[in-house]
Amino acid sequence: MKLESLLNETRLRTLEHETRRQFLSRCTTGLGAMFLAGKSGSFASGLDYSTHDTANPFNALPPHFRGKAKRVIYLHMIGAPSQLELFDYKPDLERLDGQACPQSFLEGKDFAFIQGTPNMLGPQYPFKQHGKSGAWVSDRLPFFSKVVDDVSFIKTLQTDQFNHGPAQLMVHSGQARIGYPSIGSWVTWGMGTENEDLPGFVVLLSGGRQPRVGKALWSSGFLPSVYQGVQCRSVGDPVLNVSNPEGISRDIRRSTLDTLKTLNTQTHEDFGDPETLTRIAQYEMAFRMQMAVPDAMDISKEPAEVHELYGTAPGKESFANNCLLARRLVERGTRYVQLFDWGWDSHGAGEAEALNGGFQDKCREVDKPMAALLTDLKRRGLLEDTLVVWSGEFGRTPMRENRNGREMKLIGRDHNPGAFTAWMAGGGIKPGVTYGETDEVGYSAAVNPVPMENYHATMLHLLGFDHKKLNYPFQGLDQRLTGVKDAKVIKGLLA
Amino acid sequence: MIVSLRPPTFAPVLALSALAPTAYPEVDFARDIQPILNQNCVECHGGVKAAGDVSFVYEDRVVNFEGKSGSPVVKPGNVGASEMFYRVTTDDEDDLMPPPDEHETLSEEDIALIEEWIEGGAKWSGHWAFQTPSKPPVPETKFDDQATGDLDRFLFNRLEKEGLKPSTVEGSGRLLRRLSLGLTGLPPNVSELNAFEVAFENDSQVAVENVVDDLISRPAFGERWASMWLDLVRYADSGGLGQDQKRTIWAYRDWVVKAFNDDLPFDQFTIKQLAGDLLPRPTIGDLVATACQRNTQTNDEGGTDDEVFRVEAVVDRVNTTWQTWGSLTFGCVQCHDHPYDPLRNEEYYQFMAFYNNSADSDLSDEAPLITVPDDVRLYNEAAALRQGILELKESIWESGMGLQEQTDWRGVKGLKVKSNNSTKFSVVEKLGHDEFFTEGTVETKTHNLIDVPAASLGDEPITALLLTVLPYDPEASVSNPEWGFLVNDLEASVVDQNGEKEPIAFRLSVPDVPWMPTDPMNVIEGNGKNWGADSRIHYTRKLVLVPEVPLSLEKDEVLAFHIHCDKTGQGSHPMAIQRGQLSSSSDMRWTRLGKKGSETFPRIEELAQALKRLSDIPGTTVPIMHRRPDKLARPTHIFERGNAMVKGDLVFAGLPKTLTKVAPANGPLDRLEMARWWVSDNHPLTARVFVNRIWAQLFGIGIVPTLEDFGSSGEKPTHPELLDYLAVRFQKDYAFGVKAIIREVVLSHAYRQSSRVTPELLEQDPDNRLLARGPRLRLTAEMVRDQTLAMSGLIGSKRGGSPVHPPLPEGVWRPFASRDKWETPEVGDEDRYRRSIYTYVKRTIPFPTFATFDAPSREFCSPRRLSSNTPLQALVTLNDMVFVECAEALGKRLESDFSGSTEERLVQAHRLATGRSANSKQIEELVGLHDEVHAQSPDKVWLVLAQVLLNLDETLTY
Repeated sequence: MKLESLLNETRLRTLEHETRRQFLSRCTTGLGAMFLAGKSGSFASGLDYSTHDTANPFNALPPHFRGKAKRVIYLHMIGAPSQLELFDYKPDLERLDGQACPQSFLEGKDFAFIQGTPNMLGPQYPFKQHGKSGAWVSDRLPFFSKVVDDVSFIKTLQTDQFNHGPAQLMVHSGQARIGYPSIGSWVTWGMGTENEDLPGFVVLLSGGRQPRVGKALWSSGFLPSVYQGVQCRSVGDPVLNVSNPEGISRDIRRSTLDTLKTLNTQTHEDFGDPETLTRIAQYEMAFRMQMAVPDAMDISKEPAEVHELYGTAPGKESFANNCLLARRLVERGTRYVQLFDWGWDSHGAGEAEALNGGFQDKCREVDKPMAALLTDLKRRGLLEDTLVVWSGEFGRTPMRENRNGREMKLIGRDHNPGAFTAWMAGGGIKPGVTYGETDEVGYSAAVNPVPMENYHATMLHLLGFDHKKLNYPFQGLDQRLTGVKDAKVIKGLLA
Repeated sequence: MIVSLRPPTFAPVLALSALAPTAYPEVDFARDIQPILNQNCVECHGGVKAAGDVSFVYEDRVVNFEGKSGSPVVKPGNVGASEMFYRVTTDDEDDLMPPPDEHETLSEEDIALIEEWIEGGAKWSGHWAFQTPSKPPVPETKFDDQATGDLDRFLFNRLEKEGLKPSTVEGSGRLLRRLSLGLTGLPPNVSELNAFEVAFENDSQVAVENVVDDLISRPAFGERWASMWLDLVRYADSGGLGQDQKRTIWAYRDWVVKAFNDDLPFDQFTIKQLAGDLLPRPTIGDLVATACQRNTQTNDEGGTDDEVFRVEAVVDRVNTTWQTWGSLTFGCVQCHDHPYDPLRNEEYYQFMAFYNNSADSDLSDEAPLITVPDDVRLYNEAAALRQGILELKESIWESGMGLQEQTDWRGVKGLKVKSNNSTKFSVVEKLGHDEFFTEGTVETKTHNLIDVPAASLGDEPITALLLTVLPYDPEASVSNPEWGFLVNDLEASVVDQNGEKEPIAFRLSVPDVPWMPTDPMNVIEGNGKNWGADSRIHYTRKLVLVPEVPLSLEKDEVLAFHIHCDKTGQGSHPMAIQRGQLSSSSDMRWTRLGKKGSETFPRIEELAQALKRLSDIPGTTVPIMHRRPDKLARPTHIFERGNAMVKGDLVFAGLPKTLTKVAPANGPLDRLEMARWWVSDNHPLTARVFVNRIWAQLFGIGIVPTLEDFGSSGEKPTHPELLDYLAVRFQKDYAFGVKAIIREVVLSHAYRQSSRVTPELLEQDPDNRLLARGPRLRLTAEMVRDQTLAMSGLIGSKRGGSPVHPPLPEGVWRPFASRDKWETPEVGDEDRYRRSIYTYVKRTIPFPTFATFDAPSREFCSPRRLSSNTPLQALVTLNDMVFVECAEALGKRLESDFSGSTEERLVQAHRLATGRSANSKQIEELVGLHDEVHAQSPDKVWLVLAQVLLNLDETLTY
């Protein structure tokens, strides 16, 4: 039987469910629906809720208004890179280097590892201003320094968590506990994706370890689980189970699916359940995904010039590969690409996590690819509607870490939730801006602090969402990415 | 169903409602008026905001209530005197409600309803779910000959009104599949299908009753129904945040399975899980049941604050209890009064007080724990030993504690206190004694090195020393406890002028609590016997130390007393004594206390034996609930605007008044009484909520579709009388018998009828809420995997025990704590093929198959699984290694176990997969595939055919 007509029937039924008459009739009994819609004014003017259906959970939906960003690439440096060695230049701190930390900095503060009275620690690398915008960047990021005019910096991002797990969750779900939807889930739930043959929300890992709270960072929380991030991998199956079992060729699989389709079509004739049509469509989509995912994930066909630009080497797991993959995915219509790069927790307790050790390697690993990503997106015309975001989960202290109260052999800094640097580019961001200022030593936000909920509200705004309206009822509350606090879009960052 | 991806309260209710009024002649407040109020009025006149003091959530703020305008909001029987009616009908734009510039005005129908309601006496019936259900009269129906019981009559009566009729009975094979998967989560095998077919033709009623009784009595029954419960109580084998380290708590999972299999009545099921530890002489099972409350997340990342996460766990217990037993969004009330339902902000904290005094406090070792004997025959002995130990400890401790209180302690002055590190101590003289305290930052592993000159101890020999530890700010610490301290070792010696040391041995210590964490009468000695306030100090704490022989110091000698506090609270917080005093006594009763020949000595011996015997019983640990002693009880305060950091008024344990009005509780209220209250005679929620969950499991959608919300903002029951009928049946007629109520539901015609649907019926009732046809449901995550294992013949029959680690795709298992290993049993090992419920549940790495098929990851109570449709599901059942291994095994069965021609084998296999025999067209199609694959890869033929059978829509639904 003709699949097309079956699928058309599915679509038709879906549409029928969404006619105004049916919607209103639903409202007359669905009290919850009335109340929730009523809050946004009149429910005839628009819903607070995304209304995908099971048959088509990822179809592209318009957001609340026309946003400048259509998709997001989020680069998260897991472990919290030191803003004081990369972007937040503090000459005063340089002068204070080696002196005992004033008690006023320590009172009422919680630290993960600092004890007693630590010493102040000056910036470990020289800084210079770059580009027309005059952005300060240290010498650790020579490639990135060349693209600063495309970027806007937030110097005063704040969180209320000073441990990695809760703080990473804060960045990605707005809550410090696991069980809440991540930004990517909210966004794909709200607006679907542009290529249903690929996952709408993709997660790419590098750095050798996964973040400590694991999949909770790309969980769909209480949203339907279909909106959880899908991890794509450079090694092994690019997406779990995307390869056929050994000895099953694509031809055999096609025949298998043809038989399934024939038998399921008869099932539909026998029982009349539209879910059966949904199932047929699901298997066909899976078949297409089996082609589309490996194709998107195969960077080997990229020209040498691109490999040179990113510093990529096909076949291994690296941040560079992931940046290139991110570009390939957004180019094909993936809505949200989340990169996690592990290894930025520069306490100084060991070589790999010392500012004068592994930190330098981490900078080298990310500098060229992240600059390349911006360059490549720009020259392909993708940067204007792709939002690129870079951050850690908190900042690092202007004090030198003194684990167990003793000076350590290597140099490091402890966790500091008071202020840290993030940058954004493309997708409706005004380029070349530096927003917010920290105090003389980069310890706390002095001018224009940016609490996490404002950061989230801004991201949603760029995508075309009113953060107050992108909500979902759970545990008696209209849950939002921005939580119950009054969040504000950061106007100063908007183009 | 097309509902699934909408938010829960948004499930479409189709056009059924248009017919509803014909069923009800009179205006009913809850049904007709409250929705109007909730939609149009409560945003400003509700629980959160009550403009002009008017709140449409509370009767006494509306009926005969004079708001700011001076006239009654509603005057019963008198529309003209009712301010409300004037406000919704006036032409004066300034007075009109709702305000026309912000809100649509009320429709004429709504106004007519309000008028009728006021004229009829403005009866405030209250929300239906807050009224005790009573058994409604059974309606008549013209389809009576098809009804198998009263349950059907309620459904049929409604069908009649909607112009529908019930369907005919499902074919026997498909019916058996539905019953089998619905009751046990596993499909029938071929011989079961054959036997049932014969019996069904003979006498279908008897056949169905027999097979239901058989299925319900199988151990697989408990495994299937436990899944539903474990979603609610957020069961997992790991702790959550931080390291997400392994938590040994599977004894609780097994308890739940067993409770369903033993048909433990739901009232006992409830009481044991909420307060089993408070039952008189609790059994091992009673204690294991309380682990229900210990499924909360803990955080053991370095540098985290245990108190914060302890409070989070308590909050989660409150929310989960109300969700699970009451289907109410009580979490709402944490920050303010409920916007729609008459539940008050302070009532949240009154309820929280029930849970605030358990001994657990987010510690990495999950204390308190008990050991559950491996051998069930030792349960009674272990429970008796535990009880005996608790009583002995208490009684031994009382003899020491009594003496501590009687002793005339002398404050010690002249203390010199320093530390072993950079921490600084100061000493000040207070009334009668010296007090030492830390200054500035405190380092971890701080020891208090206290020197006491002989002169400070007086002339008489010292028989006991009393160490008093205070919070830095004793008043504030009661409600906002400071980081505590933990003494893990003590050293004392007498030092002479030349610095020569003579060590002092302590014979016993008497802590100020009979347990937690140290034992009474055991000297703290660095071997795990410790004492302190872990992890928080609320109150002043005291410890008596009794030397082996009374101490007599020469002049110029010094008593050097070193207290070791080496524990670091979560990575960085020093668990040090920051403020304290020392006292001494020369009372000779201390020297005799607990010695051979003393009154307590036999009990001490008995205790030692009991402890030895208990520790010799091998078993597995499980975290439990345990009440802190009253003297250490934590006070409960309202959190201002839900913020735990800002404590408001002190509150005491209590239950919401709206509910105690209809279901009074017996005082005095403690956690046990709270548990009993949920299952008390008149409770309006518990039985309804549970039968609704059962209904949703079996029919795919609840009678109240919003399983998570029975409040007035949730959806209303499609069949309110049926819901009440079932609730009363369950609670009264079946005395909370779970199997009995499930049996009644599956024996109904509604459950047995064919699921075939016509386009017309689909148009009228797409979600099958009226049940003019039988249910047709997607398999749950567990069923998808278990059915595949069962059909392949690989499924393991072992039940219970430590969670298992079935095959996992490479690269998925990358736990943060690398010691948590995923070691997959070899091919052929039974543990590789166990039922899904036994798979290790790690919160930060959900098992991919389960996550893909919509199982929650168990951080919070999940009342309802939303089913979704994604290509990733097809990729699992086609390509995942477990499914491929099963397909290979099924393929081999087709090839070797089944007999006959290819066609005959396929007929049998199709029946195994779907419950029904394939027709010739279907077989032709399968044979076609057989031949096609055979031509290309002959060794894959049966694998491919098995894959087709395992992936049929009919196979993946039931």
